[in-house]
Amino acid sequence: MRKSRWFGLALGAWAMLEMTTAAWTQAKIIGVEGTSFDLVARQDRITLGDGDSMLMWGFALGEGRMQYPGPTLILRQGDTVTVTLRNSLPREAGNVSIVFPGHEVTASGGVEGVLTREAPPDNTTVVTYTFTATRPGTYVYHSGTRPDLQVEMGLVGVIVVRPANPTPTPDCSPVPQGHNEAPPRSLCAGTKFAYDHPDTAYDREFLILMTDMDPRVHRLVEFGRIREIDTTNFFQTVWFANGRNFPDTIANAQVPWLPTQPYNALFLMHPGERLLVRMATLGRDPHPLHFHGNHVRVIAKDGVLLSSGLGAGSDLSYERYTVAVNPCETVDAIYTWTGALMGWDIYGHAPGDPLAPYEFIGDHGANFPVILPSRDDVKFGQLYSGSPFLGGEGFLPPEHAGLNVGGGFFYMWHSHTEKELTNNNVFPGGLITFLGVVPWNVPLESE
Amino acid sequence: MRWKRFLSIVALVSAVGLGIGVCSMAQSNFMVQCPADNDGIDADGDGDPTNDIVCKHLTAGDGFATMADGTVMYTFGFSEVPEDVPPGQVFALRQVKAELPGPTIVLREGQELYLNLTNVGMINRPDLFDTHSVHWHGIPNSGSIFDGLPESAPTVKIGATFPYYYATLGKEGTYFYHCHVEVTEHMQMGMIGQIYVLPRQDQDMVLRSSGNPPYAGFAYNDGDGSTGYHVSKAIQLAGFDSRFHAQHIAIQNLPFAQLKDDYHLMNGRGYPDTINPNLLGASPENNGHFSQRMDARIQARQGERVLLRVHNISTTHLFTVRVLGIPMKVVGIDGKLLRNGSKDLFYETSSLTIGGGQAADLLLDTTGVPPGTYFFYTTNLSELINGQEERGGIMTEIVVCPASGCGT
Amino acid sequence: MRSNKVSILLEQACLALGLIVVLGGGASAAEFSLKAKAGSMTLPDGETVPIWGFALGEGPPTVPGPRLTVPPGEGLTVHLTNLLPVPISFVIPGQKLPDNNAGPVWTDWPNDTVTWSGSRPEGNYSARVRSFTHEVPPGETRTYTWSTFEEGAFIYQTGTNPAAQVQMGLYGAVTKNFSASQAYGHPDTIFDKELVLVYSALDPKMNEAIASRRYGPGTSTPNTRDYVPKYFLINGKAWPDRYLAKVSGTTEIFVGDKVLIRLLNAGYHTFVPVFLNAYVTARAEDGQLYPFPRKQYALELAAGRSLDVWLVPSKSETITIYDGRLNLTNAGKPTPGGLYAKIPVIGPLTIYKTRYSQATKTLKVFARTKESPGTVVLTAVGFGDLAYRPSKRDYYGAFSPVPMKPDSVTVVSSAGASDTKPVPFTLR
Repeated sequence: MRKSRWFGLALGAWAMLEMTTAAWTQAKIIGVEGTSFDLVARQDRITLGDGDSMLMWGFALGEGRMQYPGPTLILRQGDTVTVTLRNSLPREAGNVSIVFPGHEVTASGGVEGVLTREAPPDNTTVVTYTFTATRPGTYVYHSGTRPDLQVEMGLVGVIVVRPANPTPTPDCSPVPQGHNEAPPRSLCAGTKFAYDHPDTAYDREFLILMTDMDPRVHRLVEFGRIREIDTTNFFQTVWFANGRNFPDTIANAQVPWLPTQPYNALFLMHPGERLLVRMATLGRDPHPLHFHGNHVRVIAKDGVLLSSGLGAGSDLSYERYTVAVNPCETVDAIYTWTGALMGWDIYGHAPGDPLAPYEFIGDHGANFPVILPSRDDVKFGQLYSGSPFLGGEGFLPPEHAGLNVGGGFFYMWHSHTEKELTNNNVFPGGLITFLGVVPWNVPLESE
Repeated sequence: MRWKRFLSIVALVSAVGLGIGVCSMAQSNFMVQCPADNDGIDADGDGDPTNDIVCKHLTAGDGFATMADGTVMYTFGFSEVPEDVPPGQVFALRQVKAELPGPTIVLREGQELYLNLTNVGMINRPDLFDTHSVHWHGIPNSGSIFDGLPESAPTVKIGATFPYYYATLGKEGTYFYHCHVEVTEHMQMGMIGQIYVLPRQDQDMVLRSSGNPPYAGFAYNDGDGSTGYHVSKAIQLAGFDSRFHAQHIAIQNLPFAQLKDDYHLMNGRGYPDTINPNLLGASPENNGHFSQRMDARIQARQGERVLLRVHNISTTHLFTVRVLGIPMKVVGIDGKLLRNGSKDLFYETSSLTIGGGQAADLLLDTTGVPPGTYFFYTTNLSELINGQEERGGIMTEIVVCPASGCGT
Repeated sequence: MRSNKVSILLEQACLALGLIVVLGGGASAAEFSLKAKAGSMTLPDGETVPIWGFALGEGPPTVPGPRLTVPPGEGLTVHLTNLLPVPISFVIPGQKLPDNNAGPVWTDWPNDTVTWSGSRPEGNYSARVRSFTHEVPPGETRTYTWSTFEEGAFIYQTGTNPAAQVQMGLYGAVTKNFSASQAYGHPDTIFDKELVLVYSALDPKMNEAIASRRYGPGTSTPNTRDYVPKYFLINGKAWPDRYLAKVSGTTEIFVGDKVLIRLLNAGYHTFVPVFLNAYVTARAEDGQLYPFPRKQYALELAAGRSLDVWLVPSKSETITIYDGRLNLTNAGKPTPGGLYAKIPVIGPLTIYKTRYSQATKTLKVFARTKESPGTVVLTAVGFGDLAYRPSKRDYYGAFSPVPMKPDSVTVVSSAGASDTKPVPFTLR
């Protein structure tokens, strides 16, 4: 099971590195904003990374198609939010409901279940969930009815609550000590906040919901053998980031060939920017998400800032190179990368060259430390630019896909339970996505 | 045992044809890059300005490891090339030398590491042409050229050498390394090793003497000696799925979907091999070469502090570990001191959960702990197994000796 | 019980039988006599499995074993009688080993015929530990003594071949508080109510193999490799057991109470208790205070771990705890099972039931208050006073004749609180 077709699929995303915004609208959180959401539970299909098609139950927005995961609901702190649920699933699916951990929810309509009010599969009954988004942060929602089956079947989603304060500014990220100045403000993405404190400022934000699947369950449902399902025998063989398996995770969002999996999981940034990473897990297992390139600073858990008290900011935050997110938990973290203290000039500058934005001054002009072997000695990765330098280019052999035209540094972000990097026996796949650190001359969409 | 057939065929090929052929046609491919440290700067602060460059020459290849129940498993892994092996002989002499885990790399903060990786091929799987790499897991601000990702960097072919370079200033702490090529397979096969960086603070003799007895070192640049230790041990949690390894040497499709480790390892061994101070793994299959050179036993005098650098690199399991009967304080996680500004985030516990790709620095304080034998083991008790054996797996022994000493 | 706090556990009644407090000159120790016995357990779907468990006195063993409460300032002494066919021992992770620990016991695995105690024989690297501390041979009694005992919540369990023996049921909770209303020395750890929830799991096939001695080297179940838990338990019960519908038992949880919930995991895998409609503040792990409190709705309750969390309910509603890892079934059956637990929270004055009988023209009103019984007067507006019923710990009034069913009824308390509920009504 080696080699893969993934670069072929991903070509569309990568080949446009030199182009402007159109290709890069894809690297951000896509969701639906508002205070009132009509969700309908529907049955549909998704496509796995190995090409298999899988029957799912999921949430749809109004009359739209079911999607996996359900619509990301983007709320504003202080808003009172109403979510209605109707159940269009086949009768054997039984009732459906939604729980919103971290929120105090009032439910009405439908019938009483163990966790909340439920909608029977009559495509008529409407259950209404109401809550006030009192705290900013990242949250999950999922079916509260027979969750051991229905979460697996796909009835999951994410909620992002944006803070009422502070107000975003067009500022660039502050310059860390020992680094060159920021670029002109017009090039910066602008400063936003995850929580009500300047410690939580970021330039770009990304979301990763990690889920897992045992396809045997879906097949039993599809073949009308739902009664044979024993959820204690779960054994996952497929893993998802935002409802897709690698390599689909890094394809564009909202592509026509994945109509029920609209979200991708591609991460992009410039050196020196602050990347807010919103992590969540739903399903069976914790997933230790490993960040290549640098540590992240964990600033919040379950939508609560890691703080010793009001106004203290994220003074209890901590750095990690791997963050294990348990099912139902959410973790928010901030990632930065400048290449500091690497011991060589990552831009390949000569000592007299001008400095790049946020360049670590101490390594400016420092020689590349080794002689790279001849190209016959090595195999080039599809995302290698041919040069070890950021923004560099170099020789690539004729067979090379040449996906990294802008000379970015690409870092895999992936589950470090490495078996989860497969799609039902095919490596690579599963819970893999990439962060691209691209030089400032490659524009990214400002959010 | 199909591998035996391959071994004999391949050994012949290696000695007569392939090995010599490759060496003669590509001598320069074994070039080890190791500049002299003549800058006159004492970068690691140990008083010697000429020892700040550390050069390592590792090979990546295959081998065999012996589990605590006697099962011999086919592995991939790293090993270090002895200095007396001439460059032209690396390929011929260093095949089937994979170690489990790979050689431990210990650096002093400020040192630079030139890590030369030679791919000697998997001679028991001559059908494979996999490249290999080193991924220094967790190093802050890495550059993709030295990150070992086959997607975003060159990775080294059989018969060639790739130089990795790492600067360590400001990067003290507990890390590990592994091959990132075909990463699920190569890690499951054993391409894993430990790497840690001793803090600059170890050169601070005043702070060291604040311990009683004086500390041997510190986990981090804590500024106040709070991570001082007298004894340290690095312990790698990992695991093997016996079916995966059997399928591998049998040249069958690899059962990724069924992966579930049934041998759980500390430093490449299941209990009770974890406490065996001898070199292990010299099976006939491995040509008598000792592939498991590291134990996991711990010994300290009463009153001493023990630093455990623990990380998990299992491809299938998260583990919760415990020391029974000795207080345990978590002082570092993922290569970082558990402190934010003036706020100590150290905490005491007796159950620490470590997922794949995570590391923790644990301080055990033996003050007032009666001399005796204590156990460090996983609380995922069903995983205390070596294949079909019970009372094995992730468990080792901590011997606390009287304050006067451990005797022999 | 010397503590006057409300402690909630099934085996409360048994506890009194086994607890003898030995008062010495300053140093004292709670003393318990435990018996390890074989027994059986009936699961909510009717399945019966063999278990090994602890019992106080002559009763049958329970899973979990009886909760042991060590009074503030005291140590612990356990006399353990082994009525099982195999050696056992007694450890409390998070505490030091017992004062009279005679060292671990190793054997010449797999024969298990030669044993070494105290230290590993010189040069022997093949012996495997059987027990982490001194053993109780079958049919005998041994003592485990802690002259000092750390405050906190802990799991006690067998320290002998734990992979096999713990999941058979040889575990329980032991707690010690700083004072009657404070868990640790830190003043932030005061509490009004205390709940102990012991999580665990069970694979009937494994229990049957071990109980029938078909477990171990050379048998059809050589080890726990194929352990797959099918039942998931809180204090030995699985949903929909009525016990879990009000896991706070006879203790009423009122709005504003500081409820200390002690979560312990005696299972082999991590559980993730998720509090629905509430956050909790985790303050201690394995009996050690965190440097800073952690406010979360989901908790990592790893195998063998204990967590002390505080819940302060802000309104009258039912708070549900469920497992984020979705162990929410009994052996895979499609109806809700496993790790659900509910904590009904009531206001300072709560009408929890109203009924009207057309036939007898009678209105019945049931209410509870936070105040001590007898200190307040409750009045159903327009109907009359309710009377306190010591046996039910509630206030009750039956009013007749009431010619027509009222839409609602309002009760006011002399302490100022009031509550209005429809007729009929039942608090869920």
